[in-house]
Amino acid sequence: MSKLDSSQTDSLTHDINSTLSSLLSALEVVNDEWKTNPALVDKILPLTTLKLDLLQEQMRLYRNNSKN
Amino acid sequence: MKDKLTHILLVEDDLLSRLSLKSRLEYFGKVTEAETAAIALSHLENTTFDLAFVDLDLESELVGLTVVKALKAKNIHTIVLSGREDDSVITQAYQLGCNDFLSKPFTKTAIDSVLKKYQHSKTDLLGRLKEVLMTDDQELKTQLKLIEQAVFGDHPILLTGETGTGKTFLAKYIHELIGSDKPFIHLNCAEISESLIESELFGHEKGSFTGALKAKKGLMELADGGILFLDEIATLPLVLQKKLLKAIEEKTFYPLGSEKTVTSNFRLVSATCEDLQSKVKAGEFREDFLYRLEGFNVYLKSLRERKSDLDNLINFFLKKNKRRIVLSAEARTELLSHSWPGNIRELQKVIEVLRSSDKGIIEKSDVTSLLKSAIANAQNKAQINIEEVKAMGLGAYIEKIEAQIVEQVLAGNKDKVRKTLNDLKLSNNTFYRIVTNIKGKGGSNVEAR
Repeated sequence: MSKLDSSQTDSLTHDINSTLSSLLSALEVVNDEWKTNPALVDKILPLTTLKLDLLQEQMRLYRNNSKN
Repeated sequence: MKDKLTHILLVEDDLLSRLSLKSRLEYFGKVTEAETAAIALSHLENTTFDLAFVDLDLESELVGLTVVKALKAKNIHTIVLSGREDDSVITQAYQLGCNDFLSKPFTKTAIDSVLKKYQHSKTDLLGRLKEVLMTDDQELKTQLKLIEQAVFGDHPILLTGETGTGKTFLAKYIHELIGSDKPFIHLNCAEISESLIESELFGHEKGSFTGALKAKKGLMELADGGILFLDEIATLPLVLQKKLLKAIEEKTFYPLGSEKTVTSNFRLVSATCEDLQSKVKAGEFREDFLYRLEGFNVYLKSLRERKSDLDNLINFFLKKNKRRIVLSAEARTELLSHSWPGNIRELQKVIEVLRSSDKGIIEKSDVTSLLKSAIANAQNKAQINIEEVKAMGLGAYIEKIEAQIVEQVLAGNKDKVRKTLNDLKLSNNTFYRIVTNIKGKGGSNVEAR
């Protein structure tokens, strides 16, 4: 795999920050609302799982790029 | 915090982020969602908003900036959310008129903080501060502006000024502003002995020292989420300054005798009437600790430096009680011309004494005799060997008095140093400095042990 250029690296950093933010906010809502608003938590949890997979993929890309 | 009249536009393309943020913001107002800039701009055409949260990267890179521009044109308070770390993007967002830029990833604390800032931007905070301190003094107003800037951040606030200028009052008012439901923990560092202050602040485990019969939470832990107000911070022992500095920076600390860290998100407000810079120069105060305390340094002027406020303050204290008294014009002039070394606290006390008299109309002679007796009291104290002070110089005279007091109390305590430290509320450093002076002058049998 070829090394990402600086703009692609910036873009990946941005994506990782956004994914982390999304996960952090989601888990905070789950933590605060799981007893009082289970319907919302039911909506959020599957999306959180998908987002975690995405984060794993983004992290893999970032690490590979750092190695190159 | 709930304010249903506030209409919030939430512009975010990521569904998970949008859901989470929406549920958080619904506690604050009505939320309208937009997943693209185009939808956001269309909402702006048809609806009135008070507040907006805007992600910058939506259907295309940085298209959120066009939404920021449109929001600014409609004078809507705008908070940008972005995972971009490039300063040029942050600059651009501010130039286009955003009020706050939150860097992703962020937590709910950051959201709460910008919401609070927004809420208070709608109220005239400076006006309220001016009102509570009853001032029209320009310099004091500039200082109060610092509080306005500081109050919703998490930097420490240092209040300085002579005794009686309102430092504790202001600390309590800052607490009211950030939320009176949160803890306000007040410790006067001068009123507690050095041996106890560490366990008071940090807490302790059972058996961690003689007398620790059960575990006790420290004041820093109790202040979690609220304010830890350390009054007379200049008297805090050097060794504790170092420990406290670490606790302020890391928000975690070890209680005495414990191997488990405690986390506490307290806000430090400290106060002193001493010149901390001089104490740093004298080696009695840590420079790094001072820098940390000085996040926002607010100087409260003495009453003699803000004489223009005196008339209003007199009126305020006169009206404070149901038993009303009035001042004759001459009596008022007399009060206005006094120098008020005890500042607002002294003024308040004088008015209370006047009110407790039998008279309803206070004449000049009533005020004169009251102020004279106060001045006489002060002068009597100062006249102790004033000639000797002049001959020796103030510094040497104070050293002599210190030595006499330490020798006398130490002898009375059968040479028990710890009891003497407690009785005199002295730090170890100060005690050993005095003892070294005594020994250097061939003084008594005092031994530092």
